[in-house]
Amino acid sequence: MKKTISVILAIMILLSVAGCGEKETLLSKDDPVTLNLWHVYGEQADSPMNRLVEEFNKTEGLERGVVVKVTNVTSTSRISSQLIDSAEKKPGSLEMPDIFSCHTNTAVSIGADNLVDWNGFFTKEELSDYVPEFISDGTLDGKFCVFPVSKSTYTLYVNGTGFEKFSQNTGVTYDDLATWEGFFDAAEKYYNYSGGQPFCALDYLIRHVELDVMAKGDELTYTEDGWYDFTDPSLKESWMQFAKALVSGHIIVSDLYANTQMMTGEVLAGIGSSAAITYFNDTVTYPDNTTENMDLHVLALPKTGMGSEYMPQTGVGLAAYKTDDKKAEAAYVFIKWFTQAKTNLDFVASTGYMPSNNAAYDSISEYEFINEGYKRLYEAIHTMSESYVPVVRPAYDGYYDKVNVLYAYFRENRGEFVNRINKGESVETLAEETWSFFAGIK
Amino acid sequence: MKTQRAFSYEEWPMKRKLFAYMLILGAILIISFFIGLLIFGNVSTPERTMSEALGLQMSVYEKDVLTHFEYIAAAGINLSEDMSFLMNRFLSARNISFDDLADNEELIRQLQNEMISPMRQSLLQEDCSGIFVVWDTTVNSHISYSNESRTGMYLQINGYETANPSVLLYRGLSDVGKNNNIMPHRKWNLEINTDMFDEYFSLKDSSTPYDEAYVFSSIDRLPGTSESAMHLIVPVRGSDDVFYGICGFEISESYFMTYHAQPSSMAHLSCLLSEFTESGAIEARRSFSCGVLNGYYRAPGGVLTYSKAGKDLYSYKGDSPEYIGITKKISLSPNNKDHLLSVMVLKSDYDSIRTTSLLKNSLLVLLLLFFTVTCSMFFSKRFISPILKAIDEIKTDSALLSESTVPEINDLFEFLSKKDTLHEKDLNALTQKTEDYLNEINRLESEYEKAKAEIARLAYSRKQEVDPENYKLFLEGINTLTPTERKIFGYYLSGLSVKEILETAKIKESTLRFHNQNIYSKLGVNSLKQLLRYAALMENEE
Repeated sequence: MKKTISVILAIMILLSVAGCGEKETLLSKDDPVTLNLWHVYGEQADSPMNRLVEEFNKTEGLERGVVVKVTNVTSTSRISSQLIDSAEKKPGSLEMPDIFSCHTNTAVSIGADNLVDWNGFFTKEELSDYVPEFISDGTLDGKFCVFPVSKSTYTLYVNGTGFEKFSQNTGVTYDDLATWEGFFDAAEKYYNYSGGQPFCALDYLIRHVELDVMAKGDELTYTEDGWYDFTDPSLKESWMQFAKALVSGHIIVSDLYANTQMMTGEVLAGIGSSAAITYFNDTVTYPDNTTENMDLHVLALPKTGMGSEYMPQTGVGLAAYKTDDKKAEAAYVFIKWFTQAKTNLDFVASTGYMPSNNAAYDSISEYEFINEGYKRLYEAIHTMSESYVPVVRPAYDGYYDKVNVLYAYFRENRGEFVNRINKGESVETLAEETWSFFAGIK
Repeated sequence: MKTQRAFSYEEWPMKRKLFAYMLILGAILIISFFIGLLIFGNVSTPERTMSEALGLQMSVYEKDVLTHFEYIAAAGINLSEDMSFLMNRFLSARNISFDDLADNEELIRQLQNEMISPMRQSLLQEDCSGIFVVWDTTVNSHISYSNESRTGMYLQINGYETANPSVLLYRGLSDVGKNNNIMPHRKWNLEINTDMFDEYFSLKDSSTPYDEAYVFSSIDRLPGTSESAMHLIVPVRGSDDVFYGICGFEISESYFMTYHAQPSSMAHLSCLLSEFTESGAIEARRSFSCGVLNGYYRAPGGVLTYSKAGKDLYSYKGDSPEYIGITKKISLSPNNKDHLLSVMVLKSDYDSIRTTSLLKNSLLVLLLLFFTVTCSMFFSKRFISPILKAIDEIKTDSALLSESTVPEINDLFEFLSKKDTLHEKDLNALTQKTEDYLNEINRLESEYEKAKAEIARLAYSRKQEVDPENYKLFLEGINTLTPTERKIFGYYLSGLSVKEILETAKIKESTLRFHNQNIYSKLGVNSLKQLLRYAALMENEE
């Protein structure tokens, strides 16, 4: 009798252990859960993210009972305020999405407690498939809230056809653009060569100043309210070299995106996010409607050449608004599928990002890109990955509002600075003036 | 033999008969219920329900779409008038002709500067995703693609679903846009390619008045984007009827999806607006689709072919999942071929509804049957039990009769009780009578025994007195008697008197005497007294 009971108990224990092998799921194929998604990939253009979402809905989503519905394709500059407005239910705001692209600082504003902690879904083994630094970027108060889908950096884009002509006339080569010194020199030469056209548009001027300070071996300091310490001489030193080029009209702060100004022929080059590759046209169109092949060249960021070089590591991740367990699991299913090696590689290779999945990261060099521009982009990213130190720049509350004031100042005074120089004012004086304005932003 | 009796209705017990009646009643009620539903049209099949729901949805969707496109057409005609007026004013202000715009970058810049504000205003006012004005001229007629390239402006709304949408310059001079705080689109271009509007050259050559010539384009991909769009195109003509170009509004796929999302409780409803083709095919990439508010739908892909799948429904098959729905032909404008509106649900959803409906109906019938049988059993048992119990009590002991819950049974009990009392009285009387009779019988038997003993004693004593020879002669003589004599001898033996014998035998006294003499002679007796003595002796011996 005792033996029989022992056998029954053993069978029951074995069965219960076998049952533990499979995760219990709240999802049902017959009753799919819908997730609204906001993202920032391919705004106004062809969105690779939308195509992958469509593929997910037809495959994994169909099997697991998850439907992802893209309800807003916006930009990194707009999504933060849109999310915060929605989270605060401001009048006129959209309904808060279930999954969304967001920066870590946006996640802080929304509140880690309001977001799904991915640690509750991904096992340690699963998380080991991802670049560890990317994961730590998305962790808030011990909660892994922002899942790294991809990361971008900044690269230098050049209109190859235009540069070729410029190069033939001035002897400036792509190699000259490897350092900021060579870059500014080339910008001046282009300005003269083109009869007053700026050489390059910068999307994120202030970040280049920051990285230059760091590359010179100085520590960048911030005030308590999250703005720069203007008593720091190294900050001014770095600022001034950019300011001189700006007031001289050799380079400009982009009107919105550098790539658009390259397409209109306003500038020969632009420095912007690696993800901007998606938005480039094949041609440059001038006001007389003549066009030329863009022959897009993508180069690594110019180096300061005085120590370690730094590359910004930017880009949003995916977070999920905490509503119910079923939606949280559905979000996990989507993100796991979306960041698996192949999908992650397909996605980043068509959007100009760096993959978050280790296997995708390792195989990107063998990927067959859709055109030469993409290939050159990943060669540039590869070069930077080899010799630059990736850094995540902080963004304090209200930081971007101040930066936008600064950028608007340069846009408004672009022509005015050049006029004043033409009237005899020195570049140094105007550069000092910009420094004063910069330091005066509160 | 017993089994045969069980199936014989007459032999059924009362309980079974009542159960059968109730069962029949239940069955009749259920059948009547369903017949009633059929007669009054309240029986709803999944196909009929789906057809009605889709029909209702179709009427809402059709009204939405036609109203929207009608408004857009009216707005397009107004835009054409405004742009014609603007161009006339622009030309007359500079005392130039329309042809002078060609190859003149500066004039075109000035023109676009004048156009951009009213265009932006119209864009933000109307229910659309874009606005365009294409002038029939180009900034550079010397380039190879100048035949297809036309100057103009094309503005789009970015983020129309948000509270603060922005306007983008999709086509036009970028600096004009920037000066008016309209940033170039990510896929900006300077001029507009006429390939974007298939109807461009036919409208140019047409003499139809502008307000009658408006037409909706086919749905095509917007260059450089993943977005498809339909355009309302209206010709713009000058006062001298010169063709200035075209203008109109864009309705993008995303805008249509957002604007026409249907308020519906139908899960995964898909609504399509597509071009009508004789082949009965719907090309998804040339169709707009929308779903339900606060829900999702699976937008069809590839090519769908539709065919009848019942009285009112169509089946849509193709690369995407199969759908079930209804389709209606509509006309967006007099200058367009017909379009189709389709309102569909996933076939899998429809099948699921049908299965659920079948299960529900089966369950309903089973429940009705179950309740009918159960109620019949319960009520027949409940009704019959007191009667059976009473019968059992009656069978066992009437003295134990208790109060029943059935009044009729109580009346019966009372009646039976009274009957019992009467029967008891009668029985007691009968018993008394019987006892009396028995006593009398006993007394008579006792007297009879006494008489018999006396007779025996007397017989014995007489026998002692009777001459044996004479008695022997008497016994032998009996056999010699004639039947008549024997009959009369019998009368004597039974104790009849002479008078009684004369009446019984209906003979005269002389005849009796004659027979008596013969009897006496044959039996050797002298008198009736002696004859009776010998006869008594003979009976006693027997």
